[in-house]
Amino acid sequence: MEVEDLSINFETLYGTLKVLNGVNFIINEGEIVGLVGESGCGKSTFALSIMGLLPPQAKLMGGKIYFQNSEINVLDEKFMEKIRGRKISMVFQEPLTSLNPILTIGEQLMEAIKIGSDKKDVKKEEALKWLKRVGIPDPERTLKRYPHELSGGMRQRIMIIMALATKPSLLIADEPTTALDVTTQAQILKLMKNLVKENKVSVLFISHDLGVIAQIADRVAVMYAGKIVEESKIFEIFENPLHPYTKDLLSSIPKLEGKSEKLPTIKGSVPNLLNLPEGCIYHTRCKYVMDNCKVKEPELKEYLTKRKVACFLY
Amino acid sequence: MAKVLLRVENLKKYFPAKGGLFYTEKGILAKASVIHAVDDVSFNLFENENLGIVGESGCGKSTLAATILLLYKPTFGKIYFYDKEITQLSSEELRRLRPKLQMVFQDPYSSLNPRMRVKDIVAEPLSLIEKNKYNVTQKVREIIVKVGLREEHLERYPHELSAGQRQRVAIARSIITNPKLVILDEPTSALDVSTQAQILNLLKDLQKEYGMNYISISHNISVVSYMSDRIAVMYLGKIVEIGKTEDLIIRPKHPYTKILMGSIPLPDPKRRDYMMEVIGETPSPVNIPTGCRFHPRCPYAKEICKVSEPNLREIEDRLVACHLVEEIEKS
Repeated sequence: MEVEDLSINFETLYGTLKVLNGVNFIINEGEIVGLVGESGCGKSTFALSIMGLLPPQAKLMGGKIYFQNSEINVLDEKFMEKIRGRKISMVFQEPLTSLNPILTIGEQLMEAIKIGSDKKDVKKEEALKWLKRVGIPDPERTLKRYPHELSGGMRQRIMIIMALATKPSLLIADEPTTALDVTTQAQILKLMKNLVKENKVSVLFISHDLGVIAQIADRVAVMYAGKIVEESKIFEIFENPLHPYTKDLLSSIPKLEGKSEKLPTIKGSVPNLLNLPEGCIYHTRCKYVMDNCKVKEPELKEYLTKRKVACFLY
Repeated sequence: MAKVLLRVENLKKYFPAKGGLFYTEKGILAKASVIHAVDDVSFNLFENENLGIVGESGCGKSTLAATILLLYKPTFGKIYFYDKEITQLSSEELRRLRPKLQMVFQDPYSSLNPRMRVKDIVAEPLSLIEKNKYNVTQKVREIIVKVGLREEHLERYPHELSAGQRQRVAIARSIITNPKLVILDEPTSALDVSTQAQILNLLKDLQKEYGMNYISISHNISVVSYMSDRIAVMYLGKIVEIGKTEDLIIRPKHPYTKILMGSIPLPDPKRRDYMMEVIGETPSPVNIPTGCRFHPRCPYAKEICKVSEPNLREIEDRLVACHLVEEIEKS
């Protein structure tokens, strides 16, 4: 998947919200890419846009999306129907709302499983195999259960099966562990990592939690107010963040060991998407702001080896 | 020895399970079941000390908070506030005590009345005890600035504020009566990390100025550890370990604490293979396992754990409820 210069506006009663402002993004084969940012930064809109699931008030302002080397038109509903759920599938944050409450787990799984045969017992066999694989106890009985009878962790496992059973080449996971407890989260993250390797699928993993991203992603992009401000391999970004926003974000997480008296904070608040600041979008909150930042917008460009950052400091 | 501010003794809170008619899976009428939300919890909170309570959802930490403040009537057990038992107070006596015991809730969207202006929300707890309207208004003006808002915010409604600003209003409301104890129930869970840092700093600054004690409750262990001197870990309605924050995090003794600490996703990719994994899921608080509550999931469990329930006992610098601590430490 390659996204070039994607811009999306939302038309609202109050004016035009600039939700995505020229996003460039590449997901390589077999790679887990983390997309991290605070609420409202546009990370979910980005996910929905490559699935062709944008709400009606969204307007595509420009940009191109390539999937498996050919350009796709996300607005072409007929075409996207063929891709969605087959080649690109998605796992959402809240599994209770994404499962059908009046169908059993078995019925929903069989619908999702696409294998050569349409025979019921072949599909059931496959469903049981998946349930065992994701560590669901008593798979036979689980098939007859309804979503509300399962715990959050179990439901998320079902969602993961449904997303992977169609053998997609790209999986989009939007905050898949945010609604779960830490111990369950650890289980799901480990499971996802293994399944991704087994099924050779690329993943776009969206989260607000830098800790979760650090545990699962190979590469990470940081989003702020509809722009990617930094992108690099996972180890580099945590060891030596470049963009001031990434630095501030990392240092504002309370550390588990070694207490500090005061947590570093970011001054001000996220800019209003109706009225983005001129120049660099982060300049109003940035500690290193220069005159140049107030008038010119920095582009995301290469820095050192294979790192990308949108900041005039580099 | 510091004075004990709050003493909780053998506190229990049970709820009848919902539903009215109780059927088992086979359709036979079964006897009414009980949710053991808080099951025999005891601890002390000293003056000038902050306590943290961590645990996963459903472990009873929020019920414990609400029961300490007597928002729920305890099923069993006693609570003392400065050596005075408060569990037996009449509702009138309790009303007089309430200003000293306050709480900040998780979700600043639902905890503030959407039809009241900020000034009325903040003034409400104080106006119950201070009849002089001028004094109340003065105090509201003072406190709103202390929590990092401006006087102009007083005229606004909650929906006009951001999540962080709303949580500041909730904090202003809880400290306006000069409480001795403020319970923070997931105070930053609804906030982004950068806003979270601002709110945590604010809570610490306010403590320096007004000298109240905090009990912080959260599933987010790094937040609790930042706010607390001591931490209690809860599992299925019981405290399984209490100790000084640093020691407990670096050297957890109870197997559940070990697993809990090991599951925290640290923002450090070099330590990604250290993540521990636990088997199974938390059992329901209706059917509590016999013996140690954690034994079905514990990697160290032995015969004794299935039959006898361990009590909190002193081991070195802390209290742990596990039969096998010494054995595990040796191996």
